[in-house]
Amino acid sequence: MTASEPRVPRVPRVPGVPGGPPAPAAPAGQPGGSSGAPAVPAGEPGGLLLEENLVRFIHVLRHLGVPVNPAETLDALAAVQLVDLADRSQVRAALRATLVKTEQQAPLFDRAFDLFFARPEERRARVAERRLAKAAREAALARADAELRFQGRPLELSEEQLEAYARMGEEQQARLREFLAESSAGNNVGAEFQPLIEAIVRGHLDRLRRELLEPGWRPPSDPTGDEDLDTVIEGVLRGTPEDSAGRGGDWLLHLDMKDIAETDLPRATRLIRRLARRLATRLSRRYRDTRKRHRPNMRRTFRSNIRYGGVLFDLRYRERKLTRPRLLLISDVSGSMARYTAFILEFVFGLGAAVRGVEAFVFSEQLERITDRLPSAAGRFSETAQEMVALSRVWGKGTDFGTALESLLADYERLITRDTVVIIVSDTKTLGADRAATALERLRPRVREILWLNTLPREEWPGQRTVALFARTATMYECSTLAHLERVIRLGVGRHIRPA
Amino acid sequence: MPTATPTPPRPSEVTPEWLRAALERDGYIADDDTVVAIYLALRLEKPLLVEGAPGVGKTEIAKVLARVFDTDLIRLQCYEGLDENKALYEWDYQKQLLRIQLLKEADAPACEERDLFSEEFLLERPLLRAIRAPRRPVLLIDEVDKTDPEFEAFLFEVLSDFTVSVPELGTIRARQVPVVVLTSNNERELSDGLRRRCVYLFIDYPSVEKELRIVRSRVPEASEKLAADVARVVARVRTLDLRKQPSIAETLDWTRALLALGAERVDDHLLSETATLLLKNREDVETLRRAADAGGFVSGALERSMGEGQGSGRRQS
Repeated sequence: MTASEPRVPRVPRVPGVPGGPPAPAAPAGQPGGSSGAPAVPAGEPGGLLLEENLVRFIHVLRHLGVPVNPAETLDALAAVQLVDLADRSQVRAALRATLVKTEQQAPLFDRAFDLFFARPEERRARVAERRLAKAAREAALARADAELRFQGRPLELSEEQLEAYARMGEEQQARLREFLAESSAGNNVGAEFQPLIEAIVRGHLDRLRRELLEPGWRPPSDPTGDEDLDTVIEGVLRGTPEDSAGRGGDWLLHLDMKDIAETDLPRATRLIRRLARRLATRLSRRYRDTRKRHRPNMRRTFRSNIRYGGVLFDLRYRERKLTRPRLLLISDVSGSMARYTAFILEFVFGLGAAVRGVEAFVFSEQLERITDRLPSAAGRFSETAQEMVALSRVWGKGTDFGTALESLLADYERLITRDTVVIIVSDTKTLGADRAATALERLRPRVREILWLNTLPREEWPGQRTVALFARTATMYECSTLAHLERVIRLGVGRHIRPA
Repeated sequence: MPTATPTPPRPSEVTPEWLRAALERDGYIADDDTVVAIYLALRLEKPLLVEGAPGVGKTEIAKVLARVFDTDLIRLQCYEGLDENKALYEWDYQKQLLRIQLLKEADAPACEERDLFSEEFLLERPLLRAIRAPRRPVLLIDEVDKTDPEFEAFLFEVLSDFTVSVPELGTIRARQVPVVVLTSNNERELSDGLRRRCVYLFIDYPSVEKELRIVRSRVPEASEKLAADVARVVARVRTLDLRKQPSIAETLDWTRALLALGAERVDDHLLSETATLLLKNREDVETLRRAADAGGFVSGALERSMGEGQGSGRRQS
C-alpha cells in the first residue's frame, strides 16, 4: 500500500508570545531569510546590519516568550552602541541588561544569544541539519499514515499521534498493524466501525505518547516562517531543560496534579512554594491597600497632648488590625486522591503567617488528624508525603466522607470556630453521600465558610450527583491543577483576610 | 584611560574599563555582566534594577557607586505601607503649630498661609532630596518589592521624569538625573512598567573563582589555601537542597571563624562543627551535617574544578 499523499496536518499553534506585535522592521515572514548573513555584531560597523540583526534577534526572543517592547528595543540598540562591539561578552551583557528583565528568562536568552550570534558557517550547518531532520520526520509521519489503515482508508490521527507511532518499537508497530488488519478483515465489520477503531488506536497512541515524549508543551513547527530564526528558536527550546528558562516549570501549573511525573516532583514542590510565598505576601499585605491611614484616634490624641496644654501637637492614628482565618483542611486520601492531598497540603502550609493556623485531617473510611505530623514550616514535600503514607492508617482505603465529618463534629469540637474556613479536598465520590450532606449542613453554620476543592474536572460535574448535593452547602471550586489551587486559595481564603 | 584620578569622571562619561577598575579599587569584585549593566545604567541615565538572593551584594552596588563618584548616597528603604509622605516630602506640622502659637503670643501681624507652607516647613524625604541635590547623587531604593503596588506606580512616575509637584511650592525639576539603583528580593512580582524602564541586573551566587577573589579581598588574613578551600566548599554547599543558601556575607563570617579557630584547611569534621555559621536554619544545618558526617564532602568539593558551582542559585525558587 502506498500513500496517496503524505498527510501532515499543520496544527496552527502559536507559542505563548505575550503581547506585542512583531517589531515593525521585521515582519514575520521576512523574505530572504538571509541565512548567509553574518549575524555577528562583533567587528561590524554599527550600520543598518547591526540594527537589522538586533531586530531579528528580538523577534526570536519574543517567540521564546520573552516580552520586549519597542522602548526596550531602542534601549538595546543604544546599549550595544555604547559597548565594545568586538567584545562578545560585553555585547551579551548589554543586550541582557536591556532585554531580559527577569531572572527566569536569562538562561533562555543565553541559549538564544549563543545560537543566534554564532559564526555564519555554524548557523548554516544548523539550518541544513534542521532541514534534514524535518524531512526525515515528515517521511516518518507519511509512512505512519500509510501504514495505519482501516480497510484501506486512512485514520483520522493527529500529527502527535502519528509521531508516537513512528517512534515506538518495531514490534509494537507490527502489533498495532496486525490489530488493524484483523479488525479490517473481521466478519460483519463495515465502514461504520471506523470511528470505534480510530478511538481505540488514538487512545493507544496517546498513552504511548505520554510515555515516549516529554510531557507538556512542545514547540510549534514553524514559529516565524523564517528558516534561520526558526532554527534558532527550535535549538533554544530543544536545549533548554524545562525547569530553567522562561517556562520556569510553569507548564506544571496547568497539568492535572495526578499527571505530574515522579521526576517532576521536586520542580513542582519548588513551584508550589514559590506560589504559596507570593500569595502569602500578597494576602497579608492586602489590608494595607485599603487602609485609611488618616483616621485619627481622638482619645489617644487628646490624652497624649495634654502635656502640650491641649494643643493637638502629636497626632495619633488608629491602627487597623487584620483578621486572619483559621484553616481546617479535610482531605480525601483514598486511592488517586493522595497526590492531590499532598500538593494541597504543601501549598496551604506554605501560606505561613497569612493565616492564623492550619489544622489538617485526612480521611478515607475514618478521620485522622495529621496536624502534628506536618513540620511547622511546611516540610520537604517528598518526605512529608511518604511519611504520611507510611504513618497514616487511613491512607488509600475506600471513602466515607459522612463518617469522617461526623467524627470531626463529635471529637474536634474545639477546632470548629466562627473564624474557621473549612477546606475539603475530595472528588465528591463517597459512600453514604446523603449522610455526608447532612453532616456538612450541620457543620456549615458553625464555621465561616466551607470551600470544596473538587479534583474532578468541571466537565464531569454534571454527571456526578454528589457534586450538586454538596454544592448546596459548600462553595465548590474546580481544583485539579496547581493554577486552580492558587486561584481557589487566593479567592476563597483571601476573601476572609480583611481589616477588622 | 585613567586608572586613578583624583576627581572621578562624570557618571555619564565613564568607560566600562574605568568602572571595573574603580569598583575593584573599592573592594567590589564585579564580573562582566555587573560592570556592563552598571555602565549602561549610568550612560543611558536609566535606573538599575538589581535582583538576586539576599547577601549577594545588591545594596553594596549603590554604596560603592557613591564612593566611586564621591557623591551622596540617598537611601530610601522600602517597607509595607511606605507612602508618599515618607518618601517624597511632608509638611512639618509641629513646627507650623509652634509658629502659629508664637505669632499669636507675640501679637505679630496676621500670619499668612503662604508663610506656613514655605521651604522652612518642608521636610524633605529621600526622593525630593535626590531631586533637589546640587550634585548628581546616588539614589538607592532598597527592597522595592516590599512596597505596595500603588506606591510602586507612584515611584514609576517619579523615576520617569524626575519632576515633582508640591502644590504649595510649584513644580520641582531635577537638576540632573540621579543615579538610581533599585533592589528587589522578588518577594512580589514588580510591575512590567517598572521593569521595562530599568536596566536589569541579576546577581547570582558567585562562581568559585569570584568568591575566592572576594574572600581574598575582604579577609586578607586568610591564606590563599584556606580561601580557596572555603570558596570551593561553599560552592558545593550551595548545591545541596537547602531552604536558604549561604550568601557571601556568610562565607566571609565562616572564613573569619575558621581563622579564629586557627584552621589552615577545611575538613568534614570542621565543616560539620561550624555549619551554623554558614546556614541559619536548623533544617539546613542538619542537611549539611548529614552530608558532612557521611564523609568525603569536603574532599569532593575540592576535587571539583574551578568555575563550577556558578549559577547554583538559579535553580532555587
